[in-house]
Amino acid sequence: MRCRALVSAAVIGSAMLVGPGQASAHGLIGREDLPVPDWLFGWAASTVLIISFVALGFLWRSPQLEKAQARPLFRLPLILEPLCGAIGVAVFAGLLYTGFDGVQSPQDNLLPTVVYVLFWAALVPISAMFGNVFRVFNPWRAFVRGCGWLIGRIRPNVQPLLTYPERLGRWPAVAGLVAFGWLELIAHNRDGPALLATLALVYGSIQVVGMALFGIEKWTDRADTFSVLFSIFSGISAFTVVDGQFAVRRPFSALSKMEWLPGTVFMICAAIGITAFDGASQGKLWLDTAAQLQSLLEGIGFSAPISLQIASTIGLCLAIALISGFYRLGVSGISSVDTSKTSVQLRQLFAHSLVPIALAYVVAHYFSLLVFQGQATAYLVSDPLGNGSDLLGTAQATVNYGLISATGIWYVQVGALIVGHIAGLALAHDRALVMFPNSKMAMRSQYWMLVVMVGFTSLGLWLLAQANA
Amino acid sequence: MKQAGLLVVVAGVVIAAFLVLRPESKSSNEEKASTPPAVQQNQSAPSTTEATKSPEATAPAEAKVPLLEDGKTQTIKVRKGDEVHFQVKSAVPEEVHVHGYDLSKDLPAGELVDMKFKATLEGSFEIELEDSSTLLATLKVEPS
Repeated sequence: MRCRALVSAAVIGSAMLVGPGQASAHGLIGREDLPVPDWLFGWAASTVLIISFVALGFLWRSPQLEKAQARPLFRLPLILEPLCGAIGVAVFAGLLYTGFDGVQSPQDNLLPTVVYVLFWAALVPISAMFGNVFRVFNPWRAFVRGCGWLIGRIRPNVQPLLTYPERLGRWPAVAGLVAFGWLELIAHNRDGPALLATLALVYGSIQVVGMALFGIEKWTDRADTFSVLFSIFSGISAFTVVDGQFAVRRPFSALSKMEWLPGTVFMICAAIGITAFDGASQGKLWLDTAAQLQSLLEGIGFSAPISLQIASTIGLCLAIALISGFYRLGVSGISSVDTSKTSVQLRQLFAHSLVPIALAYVVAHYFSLLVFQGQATAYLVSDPLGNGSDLLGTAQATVNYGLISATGIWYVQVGALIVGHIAGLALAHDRALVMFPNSKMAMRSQYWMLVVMVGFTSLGLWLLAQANA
Repeated sequence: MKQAGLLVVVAGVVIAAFLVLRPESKSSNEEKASTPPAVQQNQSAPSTTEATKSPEATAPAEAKVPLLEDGKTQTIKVRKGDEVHFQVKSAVPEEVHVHGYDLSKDLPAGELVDMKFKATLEGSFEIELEDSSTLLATLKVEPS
């Protein structure tokens, strides 16, 4: 089974770059959001500006989020983490089987929906609300921990073979994130179950080897794309686990204590950039630009599908570079105010305030996908292989596209951006209060962060208003 | 105290502006920059932006129903509750599929096939030839 699956996956993988281009960014369902109407866009943009100027002048004087501590509530049973890990491993193995042996139509196979909707899109807001749940269900981490426990019974005190080069920081995780973004948005046959199963298997294997060589915690904190990504967003949550105890803390406060390993700032910018490109690629500006780029590339000699992919890759890189560059520009303004710190330090000191905006981007862009394709889980779980089975009795369920109106979706999208903006401003304000006891310097640093935030939020609103217009 | 008062005033202004700007249902004003001239009829939608023909419903003598063909993607814009009506023709035997609504119809080779249904779901939906996965048109159903 494995050999046949790998061969078929290799064939599909090589076919990944050729073939007819896909019509929409998410091939799973043929439904896209309508663009946010002009009146709502205008109101939201004005509200963002009004709120920002009010915040500048009238926010609190002593930091509220910087010093907030986690308060332990009760001890969690020791069996919980291994149990969740076992569930994670079982689910992962089951999903691999579904991908390899199930029907290869993306709409009828459970795996593509799990990967793009339940994993990629849903776990970001879930982590932000409930804490770092991925950490306990993480299949490759649980697998290595299990093996480590077994080995520890035979030979205690086994140390990792290699030391993780600290200068590398989180850059491997960044590379994985950009690669996943490319897969999600640009790769041909991105929804192919066998392809996704192969990639998941390869990724999991790399993680297992990495954890075995460099140590579980070191690797998970730096090189596992999804562990790093979800742990960043879990800083927003009020819930956490400290020393085996379930603890509560003020929401958003943990972001101010984020560990600034190299590459973390770019990770947040890449997350925003990938979501931004996903939105931009549905609009007229990009479609016109891409068409011109494509004809240019075809003139050089590339085939049509490859030209589309190259053009889209350029677009994705541009989007990430734009977000990262704009943030750097803003921070360079702050460094003109405070000459005691390097630009790199300042970038790290304020990047945590971008995380709520990244969350807002994800919610704004993926909300309808979660609401609609998320419903598909009901029948896909009963018939994961697409072969007509009915394991849980829900195989006849359908997606109710009337569950939420287009207007409701718009309100959620715009609301998410506004709330994210406010949270980002609050975090930046708190950080300025801590960094600059001189209130004049604090204000000036805030002007710059305000420009950055208004820029990102307005970009988010604009992306919503031009998508599918 | 002054701060709290100002915040309340600002919140009030923002909420009031929202309520004023929000369009009433059935009388919303679409301010698309490229608004084409309104076609007068009882039921159907404002015309499309890129399509060559505008969709009209139950017809007087020269009613024009968009013809969807492979090679030229079009846009069909209607409001929720309107009737969607278009025709499809394919040179080879195919199947036309409207996503979201999940409506399918077989297309015998070379034959003109009619599709009519009520736009009950809001959003932007793909209409494609199922077997070759080619996009024929995008159906946009806007709130009424």
